Amino acid sequence: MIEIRIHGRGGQGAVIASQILAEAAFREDMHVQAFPSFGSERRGAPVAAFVRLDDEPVRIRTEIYEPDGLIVLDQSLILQKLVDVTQGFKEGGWILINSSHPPEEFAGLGSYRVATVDAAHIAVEHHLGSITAPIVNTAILGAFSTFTGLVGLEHIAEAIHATVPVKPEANVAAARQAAQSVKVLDAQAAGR
Amino acid sequence: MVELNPKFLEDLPITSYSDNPTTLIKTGTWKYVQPSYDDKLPACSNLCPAGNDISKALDLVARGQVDEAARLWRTGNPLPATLGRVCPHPCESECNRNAFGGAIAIHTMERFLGDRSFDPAFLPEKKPATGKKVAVVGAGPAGIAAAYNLALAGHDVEVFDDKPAPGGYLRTGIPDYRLPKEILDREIALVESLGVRFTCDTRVGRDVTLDDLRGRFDAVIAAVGFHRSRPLGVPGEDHPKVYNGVHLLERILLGERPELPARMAIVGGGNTAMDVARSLLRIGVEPVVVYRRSRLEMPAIPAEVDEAMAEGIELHFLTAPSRVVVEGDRITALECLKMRLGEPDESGRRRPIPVEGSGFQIPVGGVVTAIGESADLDFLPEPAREGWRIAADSRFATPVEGIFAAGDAAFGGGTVTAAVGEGRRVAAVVNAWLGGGELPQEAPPVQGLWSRPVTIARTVHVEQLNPAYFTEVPRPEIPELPPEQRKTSFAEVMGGFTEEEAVAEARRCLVCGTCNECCNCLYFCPDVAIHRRENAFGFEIDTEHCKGCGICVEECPRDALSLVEVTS
Amino acid sequence: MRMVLKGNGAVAHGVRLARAQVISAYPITPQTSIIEGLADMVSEGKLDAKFIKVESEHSALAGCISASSAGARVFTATSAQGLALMHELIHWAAGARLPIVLANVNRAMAPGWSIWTDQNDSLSQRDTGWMQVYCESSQEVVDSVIQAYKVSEKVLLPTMVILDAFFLSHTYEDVEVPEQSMVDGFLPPLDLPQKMDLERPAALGNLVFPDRYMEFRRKMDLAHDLALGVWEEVGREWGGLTGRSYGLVEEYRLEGAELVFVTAATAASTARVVIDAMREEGIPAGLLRLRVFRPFPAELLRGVLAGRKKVVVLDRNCSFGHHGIFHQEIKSALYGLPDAQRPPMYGFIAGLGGRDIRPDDIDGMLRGVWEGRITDPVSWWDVLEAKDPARAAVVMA
Repeated sequence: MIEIRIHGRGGQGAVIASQILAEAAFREDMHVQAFPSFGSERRGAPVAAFVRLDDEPVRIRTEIYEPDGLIVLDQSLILQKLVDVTQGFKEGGWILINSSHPPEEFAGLGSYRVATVDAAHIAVEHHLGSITAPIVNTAILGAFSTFTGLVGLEHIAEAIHATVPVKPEANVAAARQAAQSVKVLDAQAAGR
Repeated sequence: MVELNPKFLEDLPITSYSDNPTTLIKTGTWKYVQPSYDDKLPACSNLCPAGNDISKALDLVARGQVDEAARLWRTGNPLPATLGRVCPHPCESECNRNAFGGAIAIHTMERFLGDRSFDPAFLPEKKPATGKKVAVVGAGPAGIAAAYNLALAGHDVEVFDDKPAPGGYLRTGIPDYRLPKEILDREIALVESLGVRFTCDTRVGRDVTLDDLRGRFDAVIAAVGFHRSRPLGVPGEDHPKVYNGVHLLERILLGERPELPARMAIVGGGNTAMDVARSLLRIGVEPVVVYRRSRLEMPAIPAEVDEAMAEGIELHFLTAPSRVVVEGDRITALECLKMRLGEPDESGRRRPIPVEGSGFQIPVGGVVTAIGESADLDFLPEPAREGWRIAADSRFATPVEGIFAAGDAAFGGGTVTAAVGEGRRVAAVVNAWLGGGELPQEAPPVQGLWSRPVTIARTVHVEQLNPAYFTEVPRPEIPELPPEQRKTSFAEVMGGFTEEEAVAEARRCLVCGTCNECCNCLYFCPDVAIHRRENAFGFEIDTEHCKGCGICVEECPRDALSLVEVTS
Repeated sequence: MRMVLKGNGAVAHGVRLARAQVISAYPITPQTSIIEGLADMVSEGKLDAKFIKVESEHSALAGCISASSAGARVFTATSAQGLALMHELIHWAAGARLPIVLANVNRAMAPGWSIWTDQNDSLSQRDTGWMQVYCESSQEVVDSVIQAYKVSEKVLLPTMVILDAFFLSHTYEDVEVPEQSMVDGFLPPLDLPQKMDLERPAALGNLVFPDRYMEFRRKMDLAHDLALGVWEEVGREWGGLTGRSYGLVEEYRLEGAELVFVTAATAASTARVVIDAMREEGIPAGLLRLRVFRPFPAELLRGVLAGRKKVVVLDRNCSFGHHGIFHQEIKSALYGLPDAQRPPMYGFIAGLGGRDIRPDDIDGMLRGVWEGRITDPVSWWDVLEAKDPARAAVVMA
């Protein structure tokens, strides 16, 4: 079973990202479970969503405390230390961050596989959300496909069509572009 | 309660359920009073001299049964299209709708129903022939109404009139802009369709004697009106340019266009004065009305006065003529005195008193007198006459056996509507007399002739209604010709309703005192003791079950239920 | 057809497949997306139903009662305060013997204001005469809604289909959504034996004198007795059609189990993981999941639990001043067993107001009891302890 935690802010689409991810994995014939951190968060407040993927039916029904992977929709959550995104994070896990910075800048988080993608920039290019509040959840999932190899890009695209109510084509295009522009930390080059 | 075998639980329904629960217990034996459906006289019909069953007819219109309503309206009234144009509609003055948005336009509704029913199919069924014959003297509204009702009762009726065509004052005294003559013709044709014969150009007392009629007919009804104008009693009155209003109007209405002075004074404040003034205006004469009392005392229909004023006719109130000023052979002015009002006189109106030294002249080239009319009664034997009136009692009978009377000359009702009501009532008396020979103690009230029972002794005013059920709905505007267009033509001034408008207006009717199946009694009865009648109008009360609580009577919006004491 | 659905979506699909004719509901978190889903289905023509918008939950159920009295298949959904507001008519619906199906998303009662899960809202309606089914997964939700109509319409009692707030209502998972044609064969159109009929006017819910009231209540109780068998029978029939059979309770690794963990709803799902791990270790643990709580399968529970060494009951609810409610009910069911057959019982109150129940929590309860470290008949789990319980009970700060 793979447990993924998605961090974001209210309004960025973390919950929808978890739903798209579940839909995409479902298309890979996996059993899935996706759910938000249950609350009534206001826009901008830190939020989390969770995804479990397994070849067997998923039985455990708790929040995810020791994730295998992290998706961070907003780099400021890390840079400004608003949330300890690596809490309970498994050694050697992967972390995908929406950031304009190269992944090397996040090497200090710990011994993880780190990747970044400038999803905000891509979202703005595709007119998703606004310049002040781009909606990055679909773009980052394209990067997720390339980075983790857990779910094929075509299934991400299908899941977007099944889930996103407006501009599905632009969202798919953003995902495809992000899939090409994800930057993965070269652990050796970073001196580890 | 239904007795179930208590041993078998399965026989019970699964939840409380009852399809025949409480009527088994005859709680009705307990009560002291009992509700009863009791239609009463609505305020409108109480004031209707013609006896129209207004609330029932309007309820029918509101339900879309417009033809039924027209049929009901013609039950005893042969002239609804006419009355719908010339009636002063006192009904509307006390209409209970006045408290909730303005009176129902009953007058316009009567016209709508009348105009809809010029076909004989709308007439009530004629009773089998009785073999009795009745002569009616005078083909005015009273005579027409009497003839119509007697013909419906199966009698053979002939109407005599000295004018070339039937209608009386309707034809010779009311201008076309108020009553187009084709309307009158169509209503008279309906009366003729019942077998009534109109013998015109025949003056009783000159062309045929009363004794002759008494010999040929079982009963005679004198239904003559006023046709003689009373004199002014001032110097200069005998000048040829001083006209009798009734006669001048008759000439104009019959199509004559006499040479008249450019400006004329009309003396009087009644409908004739208004009709003369407005007719003169239409043939190019400038009329000036002179009336010795104030606007409030004018006997003319207020709406007619309003319309005359709207047409720009000059009216001088509290003004009485004192002399017709003649210079050479021409009239130059009407000299008048200003008046003030003193104590009420025998007519109940305040007596005008001349103001000393108030004399002034109104420059005119002619004068029309319209200060009242009287009847020509020479054809009647002495005991049947009483001065200028026919001596008729409350049974519509004269002291001479077999001679009855109705209309202005007998009772001075003064309106077409009163004449129609009197015609209906005299017909009822004569019908009873012809049937049994005995005269009733008193003529039945006109509402007593309705096709449904109604408690005439109780009139439903707004105090008797339950205001919780009525909300304000404004009265519609009745279309009328603009004054500028009226002045130059005899085209009809007032408009009527379309069917849609009539139904909408009828829905405003509160149907006072008359059950209209609103179902409130049924809804409110806590004992479910009220049921709809099967295949019939209205409800019935299960008296074995009704406890006489009176809630239905209290909640009837329109006072159509009453509590009656239970006598054991 | 397999779909990714959240629990609330599963409810809506179940209602659609059951071809409910009247939906009368008022929104409340976390139930809202159930009726949003149904409103979409009605407006898109995917469900031929009358959707009645009302001004309160009381009216929502009143609408259902009226429509059901007229013979329609009806549905409503609510949560917590909304269910409490329905309470008067909850009794009415059962007393009138109307086969209404209501989805209740378990949410803690206020105050303190909460939108998260626990079972005190639905268990407060325990004695109303409604049937109650506690679901573990979205799959069970869609299946149970359809089954609930079948059982309700057979025994003429209303059913509450109950799902945890968020842990089920808002969790997406893969669900096999049955085909309409299959459901149509399983659930025929409703033809109530006793309904409003214009041709046969009658008074419903009229006054009943003391000489009859008890009989009506006795019949309700008999209907519950009957329903025990009907739930099993309907579960078997559904199993034959879908391969997914649900009984009154579910037994998981109970063969040879000396330590039995009893709970309901999503906590059971997590418990399976713990049981598996303990079995790996050689601890003879097993799970008994309560599914149908009313009618209460007392005899069945007695049979399953007789002779076990220890029984642990997890309640996400509390009858204040006494035990957790499942605990006390199961304990009373075991009273008739001979001493040697009657296992000692340990109750835990946990997860109130949406607090997460993790594998570690369940493991801690089971191990504590199994190893004899926990001996109290009732424990509050994972809660701040009080040095001075009397002060904690009554002092504000």
